[in-house]
Amino acid sequence: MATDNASSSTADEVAGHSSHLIYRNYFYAKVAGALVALALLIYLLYDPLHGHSGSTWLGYTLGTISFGLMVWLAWFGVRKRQFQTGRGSVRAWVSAHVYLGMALLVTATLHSGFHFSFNLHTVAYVLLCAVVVSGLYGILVYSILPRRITENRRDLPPRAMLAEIYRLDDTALRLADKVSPEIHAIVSRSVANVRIGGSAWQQITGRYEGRNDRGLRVLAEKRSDQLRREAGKGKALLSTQALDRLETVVVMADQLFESKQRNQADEIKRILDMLSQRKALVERLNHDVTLRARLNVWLYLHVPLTVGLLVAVLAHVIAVFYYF
Amino acid sequence: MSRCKIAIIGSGPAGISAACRAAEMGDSHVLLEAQPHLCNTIYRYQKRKHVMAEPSALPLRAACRFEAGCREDLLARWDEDVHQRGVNRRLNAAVVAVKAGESGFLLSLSDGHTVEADNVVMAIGVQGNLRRLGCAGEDLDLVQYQLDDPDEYVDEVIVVVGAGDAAIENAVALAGRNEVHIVNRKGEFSRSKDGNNAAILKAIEEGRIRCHYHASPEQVLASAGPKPLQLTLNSKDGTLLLPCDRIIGRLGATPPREFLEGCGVRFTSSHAAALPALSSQYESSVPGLYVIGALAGNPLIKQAINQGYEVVERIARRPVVPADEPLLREKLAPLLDGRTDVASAIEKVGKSAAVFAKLTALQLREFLLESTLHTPKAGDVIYLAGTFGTSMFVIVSGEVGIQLDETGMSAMRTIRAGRIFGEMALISGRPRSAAVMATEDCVLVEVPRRAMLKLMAAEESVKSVIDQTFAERAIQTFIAPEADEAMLATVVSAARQCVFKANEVIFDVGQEASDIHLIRSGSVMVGTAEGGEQAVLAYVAAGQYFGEEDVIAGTLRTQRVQAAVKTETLSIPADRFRLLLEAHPEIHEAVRLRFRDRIRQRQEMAKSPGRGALMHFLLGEGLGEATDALLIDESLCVRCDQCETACAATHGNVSRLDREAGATFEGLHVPTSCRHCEHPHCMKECPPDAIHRAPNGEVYIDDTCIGCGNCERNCPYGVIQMGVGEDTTPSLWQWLVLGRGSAPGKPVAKKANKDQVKKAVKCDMCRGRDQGPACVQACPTGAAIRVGPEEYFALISRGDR
Repeated sequence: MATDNASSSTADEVAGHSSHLIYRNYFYAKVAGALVALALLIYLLYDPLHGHSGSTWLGYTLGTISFGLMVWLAWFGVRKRQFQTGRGSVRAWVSAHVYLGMALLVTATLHSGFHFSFNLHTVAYVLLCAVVVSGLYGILVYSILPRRITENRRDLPPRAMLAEIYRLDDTALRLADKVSPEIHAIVSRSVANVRIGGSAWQQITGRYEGRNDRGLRVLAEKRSDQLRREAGKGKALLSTQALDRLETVVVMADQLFESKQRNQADEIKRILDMLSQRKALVERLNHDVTLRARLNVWLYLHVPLTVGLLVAVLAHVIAVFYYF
Repeated sequence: MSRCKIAIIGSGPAGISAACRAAEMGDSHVLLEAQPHLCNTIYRYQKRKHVMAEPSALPLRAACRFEAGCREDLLARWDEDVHQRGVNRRLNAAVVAVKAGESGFLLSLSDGHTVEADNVVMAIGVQGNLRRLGCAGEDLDLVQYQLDDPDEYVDEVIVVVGAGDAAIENAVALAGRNEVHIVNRKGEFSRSKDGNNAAILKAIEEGRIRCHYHASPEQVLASAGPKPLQLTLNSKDGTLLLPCDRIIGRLGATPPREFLEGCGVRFTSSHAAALPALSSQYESSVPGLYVIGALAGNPLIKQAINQGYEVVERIARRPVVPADEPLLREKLAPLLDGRTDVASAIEKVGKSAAVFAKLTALQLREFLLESTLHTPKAGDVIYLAGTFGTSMFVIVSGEVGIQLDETGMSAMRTIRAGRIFGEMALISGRPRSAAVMATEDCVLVEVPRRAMLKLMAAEESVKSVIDQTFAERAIQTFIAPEADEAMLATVVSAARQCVFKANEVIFDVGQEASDIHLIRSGSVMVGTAEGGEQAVLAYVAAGQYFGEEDVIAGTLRTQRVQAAVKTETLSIPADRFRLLLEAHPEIHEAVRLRFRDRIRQRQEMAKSPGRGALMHFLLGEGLGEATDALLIDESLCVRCDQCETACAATHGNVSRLDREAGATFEGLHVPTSCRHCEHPHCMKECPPDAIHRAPNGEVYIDDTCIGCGNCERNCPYGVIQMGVGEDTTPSLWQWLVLGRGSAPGKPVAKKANKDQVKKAVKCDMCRGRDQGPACVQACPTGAAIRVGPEEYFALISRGDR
């Protein structure tokens, strides 16, 4: 049984098993909401002499709160990696991080009093927005994509998919070897042309080079020519466009059955089957790569921008007090 | 012809130790070894294999050296010792027969020579003699019976003869670089492990290995043609000539038992795992013939070496006290006084309980070495209900009481001296069903699971006493607490033990309701099979019973019950059960309430058939065996692998969790992580007995692991890894700020140190960690949860996920 321990999170895990957003019945959402509501209220009620800005007492208060929040939010990167000494579950921290991060955008904006121009202070603000927006993207994909990944995998983890691809390659080559050297060469080329994954842009957009189609097409063309020559049955040469489509190739395989070389026809059909199976698997694997890329790409913005933000904010604070 | 006092057969650790001692003391002796080198079993270990010196608590007493180290060092040291002591050894001297005569023994060697000796010490181990091909040419040069390194051979045509695990493993290993044929006498590979069976069939299907079914070798000829050998195979398709480069015979070994029995040695039973009947001096039923080492039931090297020393002392009639004597003296301290020494204390224990009745003095000694003696006073609690324990208790003297009623002491059933208790945990692996306390001052022997199981396998009598006790107690506890002895006896005598394989159907809808089943071990799924779809409605674990509803109602079976994992039950005929009900109306009431619950549960589950299918999946993944398992909700899992990193960071930088591997169903993933099974498969064959279960249910591996890998092979869920743990934790700040060192959870050492032993590691439920399992704590989205099966099934039936 799950060990009993002091923190309530384990009991939560078992009984509630809620996600980071729902954690403890939206506790941190409520906290963040309360903070935002309070800030807004005071902002609207208080009407300073020269208008809202960072240098009113409200401005300073909000500024301090924002700075504190920022540092604490950045600290999450450290907490997440403190496996032995960290207190509280990471899920609780994520929940707090998400909602308080959104609250930060509001408090920082109110702190600025909407005074923006081309200076260091606004740079800091823009960086903050970029960080929060990238974070929002993160929450969005974290909610949607996991399910899609599971559906795409259909119970075959990527390692197993890759192993299956290799196995199909291997078997196809072995069979091709028994048929003829040219078929072997074609299959060989097809195997070598498989591309899994690609550049960052390719991964995110999901558009990979589809060179593995060519092998099938060339194979189909060759056999069709051969058939025509040997059987001399005057069957219409299949158009190249038709050959592009998989179904046509299968139809062609059926034609092979009618030819005299029965054994070879069986083998060729098997090879074709394997190659199309493999094609499907490669596509699935690439799709998996895409989904996971989309799941992680935002962190490459979120984290570096945070570091930049912290530096900018530090500069902002120093500048403000220096030029007090 | 030569005569000596002691002839030692076999030059393993036991034989070497005996020979060295005899040489040291000047006893005339001869050490006979069949191979051209000493210590064949260790010689055949793979290169640089690390050999441990367990049990560490046992002192070494020998005339030869031994400490933990690599194979090469061990063999070198023994060669030196044998040489230095001037041991009279003869290599290439296989003993084919030992005849006892009036004036000693006559040993016949394979080369025709004979040796005469007053005493014979058998230290031949259990590896046996490898079976040959059984046809002409079986001794040719390129016909071998061992494969040390499959990578040694490239581009050869190799024929493997045999269909067992060794043959399959060799064939598959060689198939990568060679053309491999496998010769199988039958039409299938039935004797092999499931994994091997699947592997060989796959290899044959893919054309990587050619299999000759229903074939056997007729003869092997050396040939001058392109290939050095020509093998003639007899198959149902006729004769086949197969030119090849090499033939590897993996046909098993003739067990040494036949050889020993041929010499007149009696064994304790006809059971396959039975040991030779030996006195406490290691003497067999043939006077003057001694058996030591692995053959006497001691697989550990240190024990074998101690025995070698001891047996020579005994033969030479020098006073010697067994090496384990000080340990036993300490253990049995409460029983020892002026009049009682260790030997008589052991005798007293042996006579005290029915379960020990047929054990030999040596068996008792070893058994007690592994047990613990307790002397609770009246009123002491021995264990509480709900804790996990895997030991059994034997009452040497005194009395204990089982607390039937949780609230107070009022309802207590007593157990007198001479009987056992705690056997249910042993058999079912479930938590203790009731609390037990001492009602008088007692002397108890607590026997750990492994020692008990070993004994049960070797001694029929022990097994039957325990089974009988279990049956009585289980029926009394779970079905009829008020039943008197007479009634109990009639039910128990009619009870039959049944064994079911995983997923075997125990009974199906429409069959006659002829019995009820009490589950001894394992668990079952109760459900319906509507429209071909398996719908699991309930899950019944060990210690509970099923099948009573239809017996009471008098109808045909309305449900199908299937074993979730390998399950043993006690089946009680319907008429006896009805008799019991009539005699005890309160049982009737209890059963009626259960019946109502079951129907209600069935309604719940029937509402959404998906849940039933989900339960079926989880049980298939071994959750039914588990006392605790990690599940991952894939709709929340962002595949960040924090769980794996956390596991590694808190466990010497070796992760015990493989998140990605494992099956998924309806978005619920069961990664390869330890299930903490009720009957841990890993515990089965652990030589140093390093795997234990903690009171809260966790199965853990302690430091005495020798890295043999048995547990890794036995685990059906693939959760055990072999790895080298590290003590150093990389500095987080240095890495975070400066990028120096390794990330948390990643190994610090750049290259694996070759001499370090890879020990078995697996999930230990983060015992001793305040915040609970590290994986659950580190998961950012809450996808990872640890639950026991009942909790989870309760959740499913409630509808939460």
